[in-house]
Amino acid sequence: MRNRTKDIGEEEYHLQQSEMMLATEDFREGGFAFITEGSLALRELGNYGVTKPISNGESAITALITGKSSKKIYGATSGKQSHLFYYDPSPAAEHVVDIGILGKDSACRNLMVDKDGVIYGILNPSGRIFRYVPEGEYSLIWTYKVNEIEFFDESVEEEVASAVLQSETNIIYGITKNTSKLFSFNIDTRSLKIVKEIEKAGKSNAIAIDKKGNIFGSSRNCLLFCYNTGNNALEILDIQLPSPKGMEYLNHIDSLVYDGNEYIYGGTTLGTIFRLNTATLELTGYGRPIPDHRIRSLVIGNDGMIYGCAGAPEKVSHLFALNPKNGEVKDLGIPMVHFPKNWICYDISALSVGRNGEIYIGKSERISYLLIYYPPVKKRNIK
Amino acid sequence: MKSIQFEIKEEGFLKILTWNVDNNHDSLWAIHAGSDGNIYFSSCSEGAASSAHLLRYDIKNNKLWDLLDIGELSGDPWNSGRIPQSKIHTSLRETSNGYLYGVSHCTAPNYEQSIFEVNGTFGDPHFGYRGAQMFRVQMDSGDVEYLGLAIPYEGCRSMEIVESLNKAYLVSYPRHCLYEFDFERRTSRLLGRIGTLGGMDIFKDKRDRIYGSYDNGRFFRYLPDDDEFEELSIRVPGIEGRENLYNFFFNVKKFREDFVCATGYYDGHIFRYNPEEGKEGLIEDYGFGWPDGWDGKTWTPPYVQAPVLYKNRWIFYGCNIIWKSTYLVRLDTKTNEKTVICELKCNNISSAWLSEGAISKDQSTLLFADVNMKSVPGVIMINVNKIN
Repeated sequence: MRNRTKDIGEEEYHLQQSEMMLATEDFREGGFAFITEGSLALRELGNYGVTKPISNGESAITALITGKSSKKIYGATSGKQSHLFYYDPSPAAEHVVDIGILGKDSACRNLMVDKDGVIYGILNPSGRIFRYVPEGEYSLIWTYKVNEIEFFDESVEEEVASAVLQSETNIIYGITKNTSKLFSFNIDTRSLKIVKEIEKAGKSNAIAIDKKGNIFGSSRNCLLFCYNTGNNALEILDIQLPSPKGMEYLNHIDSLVYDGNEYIYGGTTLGTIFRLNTATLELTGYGRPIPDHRIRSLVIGNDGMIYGCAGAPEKVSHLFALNPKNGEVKDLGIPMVHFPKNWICYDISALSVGRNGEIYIGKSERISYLLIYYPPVKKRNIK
Repeated sequence: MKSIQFEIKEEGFLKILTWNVDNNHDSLWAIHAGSDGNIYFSSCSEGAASSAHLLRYDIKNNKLWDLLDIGELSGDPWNSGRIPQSKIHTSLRETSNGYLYGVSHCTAPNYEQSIFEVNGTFGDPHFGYRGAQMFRVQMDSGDVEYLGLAIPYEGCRSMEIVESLNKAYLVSYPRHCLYEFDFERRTSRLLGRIGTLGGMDIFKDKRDRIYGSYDNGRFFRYLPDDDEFEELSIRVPGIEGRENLYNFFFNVKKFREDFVCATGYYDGHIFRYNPEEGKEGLIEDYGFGWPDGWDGKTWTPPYVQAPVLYKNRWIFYGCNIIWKSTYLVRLDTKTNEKTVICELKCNNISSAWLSEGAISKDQSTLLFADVNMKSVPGVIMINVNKIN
């Protein structure tokens, strides 16, 4: 039999080697799936003694957004109850505060912030729009204050697939999931309008708006659409999302992030990533960071890198980075932390960026936490 | 089902049963004493690619039978290049209608590889693990039936069957999620994450509620009828302050409805849990499994393994410092007296780990799934009367 004649001492255990595999150079170089560039931390969704942590089954983080001046990170969970929360990274607090319950058996995948720092979100499956005004809230190590969450009466009365806020006009634009209708909601006048119907747009999970008021999203056969909010013109562009050939009809926009100037970076449900020049409408594809589907969130880091999470729900998500300068895409790996507890983050739905360039990772499982990824500091060049 | 050659060597009151169904098999992880008097166990590998086999030892007629090769049964051969179906962990469960159910697990590397990386290869169609495969054996005929994929892309560490619902509940690896498998529809459903390393073992109570523990040892209960998790306030007993990183329960064995025996992963305590007592059940901590306790010099107290209840009073179990020889210990649950019986060494091979224990139908023989120092899969058999 194999190993029976293996020259090992009587008291040496043959499986010790495999149990110690994680410690070997061979494994760390050749088979280590976890993030090794940069470092990670974990925050529970609450601070015992101050605020009760959000319960298991309600803690799956499905939306994150950076608050005004990057002072706080706001997030929403989905599950048996959906919660709105904030994370205050200040050393005077450094904890998550549960702002309140958004709804039962519900999901929130869209959070938006206006120029005054007011948070808006959409709760599914009802499609109701809510608002949270942070002004006056505070948190310290031993206490905190939050404000009320306000729901608007107006609603599209169906699930919303994606939404975006046009800060200049205070209008939320969104796409309904089942009927693929583009709607607008004027926050000031409370006027809700169905603007257009865009075939298959409800299959996508994100839209983005540029500084000229153009909304970009995906429609049938993963063709991009552009809706101009100024002249109410909808155009299905002759630009397809990068897709495996023959699967275009199955591909939709999964996530988008706008750099505020020229480019929109995007990820698709089939797991490809791309950049769109909003002026020239030139699209550049960067392939797939990992072999799996889904790019559920993208953010632009303070270091200029595009960070994203790749991987389908109920599988294994990887964090990746795209260098827009040279197009290099790097699979950073699976987030694993050891302190304050050992945890592997297998399912990621949301990302946001903190003041110092740290990347917040919204884990979305029955037991979920907020993870923080600190990208590595670049080495100086020594000549 | 085919008859295979085997060997039984005897040393004092220890006997070791060995066989060879696969040259790459190096360990034995599941053992079950069937109501039919036969002993069922899984011949497995961790060090090299293989398919796990389920074997049956007929004590009465002194015959060994190879019932199934799980890779062959599920159409997932060991040399496919994917992470193979190399293990059946402590997941054999007998049902009242005469079937033995089992489900596969993964811990061996891909064919011709030495590195095992289930996270990195997750979901990959060419290199990743396809998932835990469910099977059953009709115990009176030995007929085998493949029941389908129980957990996609992951192995299974522990299983319970709720017969009234015709469903199995399973702990997945590496994601440590609780899954439900519907035998009628042959479909599985993710119920939720339960840990990172913890939540390894589950058991059920009289009302078919499923119990597990989180990484830090806190118990939870899943209610299949309501599809709800309950967070319990009780925890795995152990040394205060050592709950993190881990102190979940494992090596769970349900002896009676009111007697579930388990041990803490990092604290080496052995305890009884009575799920029928009060709202959350009652824990009786027997303290360290090793009679001399812990000298604090090793990274954990000696591990307690494979408990077996004898005559409703004594618990026999293995106990060792990791990677050192395992000793057989007897605990008198009435007096809490613990006695080291012997080093488990047979044919000059020391046991390194007892994965699971059982007792023969006539209560005469203790049976242990042995993971030993020299990668010879074997069943350790101990005549209890000789010990006494």
